[in-house]
Amino acid sequence: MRKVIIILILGTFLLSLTACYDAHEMDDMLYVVSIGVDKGISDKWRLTIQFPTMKEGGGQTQSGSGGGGQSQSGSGGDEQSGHSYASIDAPSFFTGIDMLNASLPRKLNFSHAQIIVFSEELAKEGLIGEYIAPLSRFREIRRSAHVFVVKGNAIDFIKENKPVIGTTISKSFQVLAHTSENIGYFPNITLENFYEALKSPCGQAIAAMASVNDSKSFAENGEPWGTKFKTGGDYFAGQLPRTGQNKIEVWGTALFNGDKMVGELNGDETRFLLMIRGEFKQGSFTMQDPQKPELIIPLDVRVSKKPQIDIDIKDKKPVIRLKVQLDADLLAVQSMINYEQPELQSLLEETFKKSVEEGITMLIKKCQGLNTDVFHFGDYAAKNFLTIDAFESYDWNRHFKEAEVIVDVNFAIRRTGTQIKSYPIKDPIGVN
Amino acid sequence: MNLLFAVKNIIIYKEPKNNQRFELLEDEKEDMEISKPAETPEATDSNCNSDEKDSAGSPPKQFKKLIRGLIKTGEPKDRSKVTTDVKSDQNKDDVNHICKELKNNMQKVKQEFHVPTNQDIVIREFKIMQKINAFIVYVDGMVDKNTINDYILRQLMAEQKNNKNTKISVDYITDNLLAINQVIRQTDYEEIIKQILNGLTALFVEGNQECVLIESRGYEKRSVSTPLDESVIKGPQEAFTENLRTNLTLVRKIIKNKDLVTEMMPIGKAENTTCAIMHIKGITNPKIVQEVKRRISSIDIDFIAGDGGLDQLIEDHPFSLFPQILSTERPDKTASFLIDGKVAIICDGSPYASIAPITFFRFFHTSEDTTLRWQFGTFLRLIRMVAAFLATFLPGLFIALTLYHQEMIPTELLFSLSKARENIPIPTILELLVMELFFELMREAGVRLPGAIGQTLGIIGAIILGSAAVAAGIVSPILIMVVSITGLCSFAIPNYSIAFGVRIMRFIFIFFGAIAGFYGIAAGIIIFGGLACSMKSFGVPYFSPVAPKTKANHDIGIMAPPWTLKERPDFLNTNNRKRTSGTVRGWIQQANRGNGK
Amino acid sequence: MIKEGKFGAQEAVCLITVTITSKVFFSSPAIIAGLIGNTGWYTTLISAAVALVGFCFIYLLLKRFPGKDIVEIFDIALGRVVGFIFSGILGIYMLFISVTRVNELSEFLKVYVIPLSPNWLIIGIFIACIFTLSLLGLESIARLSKLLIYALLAGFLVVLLLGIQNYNINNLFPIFGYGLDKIAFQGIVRSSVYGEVIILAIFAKSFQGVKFIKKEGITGILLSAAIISVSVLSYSLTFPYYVVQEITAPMYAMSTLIDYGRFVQRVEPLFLYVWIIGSFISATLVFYSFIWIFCKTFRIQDKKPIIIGSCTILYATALMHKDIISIILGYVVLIRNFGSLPLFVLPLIALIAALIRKKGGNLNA
Repeated sequence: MRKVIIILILGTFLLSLTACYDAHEMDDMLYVVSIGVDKGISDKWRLTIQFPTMKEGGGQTQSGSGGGGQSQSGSGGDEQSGHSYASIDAPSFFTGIDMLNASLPRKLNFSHAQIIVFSEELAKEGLIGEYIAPLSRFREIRRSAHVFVVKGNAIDFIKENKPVIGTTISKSFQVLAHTSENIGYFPNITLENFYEALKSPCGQAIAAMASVNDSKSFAENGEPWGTKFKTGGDYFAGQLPRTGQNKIEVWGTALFNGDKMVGELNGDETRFLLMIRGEFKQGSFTMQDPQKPELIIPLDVRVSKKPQIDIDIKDKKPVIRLKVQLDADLLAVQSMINYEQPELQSLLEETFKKSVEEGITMLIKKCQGLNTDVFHFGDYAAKNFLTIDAFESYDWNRHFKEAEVIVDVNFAIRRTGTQIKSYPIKDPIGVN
Repeated sequence: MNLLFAVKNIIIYKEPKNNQRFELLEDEKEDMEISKPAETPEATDSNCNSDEKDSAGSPPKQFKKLIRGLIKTGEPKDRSKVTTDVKSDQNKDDVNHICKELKNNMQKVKQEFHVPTNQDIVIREFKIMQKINAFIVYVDGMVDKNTINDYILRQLMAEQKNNKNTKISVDYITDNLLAINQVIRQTDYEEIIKQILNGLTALFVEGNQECVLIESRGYEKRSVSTPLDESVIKGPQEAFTENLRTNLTLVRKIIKNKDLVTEMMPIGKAENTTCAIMHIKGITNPKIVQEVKRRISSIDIDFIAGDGGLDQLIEDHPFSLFPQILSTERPDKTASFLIDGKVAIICDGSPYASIAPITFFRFFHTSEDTTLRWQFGTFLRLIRMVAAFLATFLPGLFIALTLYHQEMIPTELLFSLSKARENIPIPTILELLVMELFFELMREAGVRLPGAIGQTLGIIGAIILGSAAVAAGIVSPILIMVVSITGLCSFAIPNYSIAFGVRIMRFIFIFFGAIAGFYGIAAGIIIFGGLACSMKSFGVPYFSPVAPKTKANHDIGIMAPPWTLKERPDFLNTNNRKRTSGTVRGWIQQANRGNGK
Repeated sequence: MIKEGKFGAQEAVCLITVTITSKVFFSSPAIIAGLIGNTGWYTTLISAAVALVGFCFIYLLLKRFPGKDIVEIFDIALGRVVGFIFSGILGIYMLFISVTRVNELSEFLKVYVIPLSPNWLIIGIFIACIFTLSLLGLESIARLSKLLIYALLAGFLVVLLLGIQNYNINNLFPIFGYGLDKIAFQGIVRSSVYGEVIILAIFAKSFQGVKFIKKEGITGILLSAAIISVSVLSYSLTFPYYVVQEITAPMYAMSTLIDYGRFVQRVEPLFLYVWIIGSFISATLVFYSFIWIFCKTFRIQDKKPIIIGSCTILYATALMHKDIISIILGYVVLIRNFGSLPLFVLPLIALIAALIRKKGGNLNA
């Protein structure tokens, strides 16, 4: 009896040995790591992909030229770091892939795509909805890929995406989530978050803002700064005054209304946004020393509890009560004033608390002005409705701008580092 | 021809044969053995001899068809190729019986043993008490010469002053003259010849129709040594040898229980090999013993190579990859199985004991688990389970992952694997099969080479040839890792036969994985899991106590603390379930009683 | 007449649980999200309650005719002809369920896992497994499910626990979905989800008695209700109702989102095995019950040729559908909406008929 079973089963499988349909060797595929989407010139899409070239470190550099022009596909990039890029103008995503296969020998596999980059132009025209449709349905693209909106062209961004440390480009974006948690200057938005928010009746979408920084803001020569106070977070993407080998930076947020980009937030505002959304974990803030305004006090701020949001609907107008709880460690006292004492400590706390409350209120007003609820207050408003129909007919997004917001920040300085007292430094002797 | 037959068998509809499968069902507990008429009678003799010397039970000589109950679809072709004449001694009484005349006896013996052509047989004539003719027959080399010289010949030849008879009866000899520890009187030539071949000495006396079989065995045998493939670090280091008597003694040294019963049965129609069936009466379910004896007694083949051959002939599912009888060469393991309620079959000439019935999980237990503390035993068992899992599935999973499911591999690992594969000319599955084949060849070659060279070859061959292959660009280094981990894990499986089963299953899963990726492997798990779940080993389902669920015996995956194992395994339906009458650790209760007033 | 092995309570519960819960992995969660929003997790409890009531009727029927299985009961209670028709309906329905299961799994695999393999290969492998397991008999299927259920449950729980990072409690609000009336209606109608508990009645001879059947049935329904409810809860927490309606297989999509740091990501292989093995066992069981009903109805003693023939029928029928939408919106919806009829209403009719015609049961039912 067993013989019969075995013969039958083996027969079935023998038939299928005629071809193993889905078996692709690992080296038959080209693994795309980054996808860039622009408005094309010769066709609707300008699709850029970046992939590792599987060469062992040193290879010959090819100078790939890619000037403008008609349907172009250029490939170049730094082959010494083991990756390359290719770009093509095509009517749609999938046709573009097929067209790229004319020059790239292996089958493109998107299952390891880490980032998806849209250009700002595309976003501002409200075209993201169209362009995101194939990405969400395609089985290979995982919804945990990160979404960025880029100032300028996506193709420039991808060209400049080179690994400074190590040779793999895939590592850099894999730690992106952790970086966002640690500094809070840009949000960690995956394709899933973005896509859900596009369709949500409870709020609007955001995406992290990225840019190529051409070091223009880094003035080589000029007057030193002096003592004016700057928080350091109020730049927009691409404007950070820095230089170095890595040209790209991720900073700030793009705000969407529907699928159209309507605004941008700088670093500080992004932090407040993340605080309200409950995604802010930790970051260092700089505040002015209340007793010596030309000096600063940096604080390492953490969120101690998730923000408490209560929403009441009083005859169609929502009232939002927002409570944010923050903890901090004192990082430095430039003035050496003994802020560790309880009285002075509460002075510090009050000052910082006020600045945070101001920041949050201004941010919410800005978003109300743009008519977008990127904080997803609608999620909490849904508790006031019993059925989905009632909620959708109320249409939260329309009523957001009439909302009254009451902000309350709880702030406490917990620890002061390895010093519990600041003793003043002696003035230099012999000098007035 | 055979293929045509097989195909025809598939297509044409056949009435299903009414095959009685042996099922061990729970029913009323029976303490007395069931007496079945047509089977070998239980030899519960009440004489004062120890009941191990039961050799005289004559095998049932029935003319009915061979009982095919143990073979599911009737394919007994290979079993009945050699049929020996079944002589029933009822008809041929006169020829078989001993005559009174010594001359006739001697002639018969010479004829039977082909003396003088057969130089192994020695016939020694002498006179008992210097008056009565007699001769002894023995096989040279199988007898202890001292016994014959000192205790037979000297005793018999000694002059007895007070006895002046010219005739003497065998009774007188056995009662007064022979200072031997075991004697049997026999009249049947078949038996006598068999016992002579076993090493006993046959004494024929003039005028007597009985012959005396004298225990005189003394052949060369290996002394008790350490186990070869079941070594443990902490535990007894004795192993079975080829001599049946020694093996039985080794078990008896551990279980000093008066209910431990050894029944001897000859195997096969030519009855050349004896096997001993050990069980503890009162614990073992008599149905199991009966079934074992029924199967052994119905084997009809001329020669069985040790107990491996016997295992295959009495197994329920000979085509399965998993063995249903466990072979062990350690007497302490055998003893623990006997206490559980299982039956041990030891064949003469084979240093292994076969244990039946057995379940799947017992193959992964060693005696080290019980001798160490239970935490360490648990740890070892977990490692073995992981090893068994990896040894079966790792190559198949690797193939499925790299061919079909590249999205499941972490990105960096995928890139480094791809880079390594860039220069390899052959496809992954061929690479894997070549490496596996290579590894199996090395294992097989290592077995043939003596001692240290074999082990060194294994290691050096693996490392050097593997590295050379990588350097030459024929295989990728990750594959070497996969294959060597698999090989290592298959060595961690304690039982040799099931390790073999695992080795073959590995290839099957590679095949399935290459066909359809994870889907194929899941299909393979279902098919082979289903086939394994339908197996029964002597009536006990193969995956007890997990499926079906029997009363909890915590002893499967983890090693339970020994004081919690208060009952024997439920699936054996033993007569005597409890191993203890109350708490195992009496000192705890005593302490409590002492404390609480 | 046809001998079938005996097995115990735990195996029966495992069988029922695996059969019922493997439904939740496919597209029906997406469809019901369109009907009742994000309230699936307590709607399914309503369905379980209705199924329990239905099971009570089945149990009463079995208690009235102890030691007989449902085909024989239909015969006795309703007479030869009507009983024959009822058994026929039940049998065909079981075949339909197994065809749907096979199709669901193969379509799902083609979408997500092995897109280029042809349909006939995937379904062929499936049918080969069903064939093997059917030949080995119900005992083997039950033991296999008991053996594998530990691994299946463990994998399932691991994925649910790992997905905690994506849970957002606000996705559960508004709490009453599209309205209480729709919830109640769907809850009652979809009690067919738990309908496979009738398998206990079909194989009534293999269990140890009617009391055991009652215990096993209730435990099976409750356990599978818990598991289905927890799974629906988990993907409702992950996806809001407007997104989950779009996804082909919400639970698979949920498992692809798991991403802790650099290494613990891409864990869907775990889930894939749970799915495939669960589907195998459930499709085999339903198919085997069809074979059993068929053989009992026509009084056929030997199952082997029937199995071979039915497997061919199953293979042909499974290849008949045109596309995935006809499966999701056609077959599955049909089964869910009208499934409670053959599964619960038929035994109820038989019970009433038996009461009226005073057949069977000297126990005061």
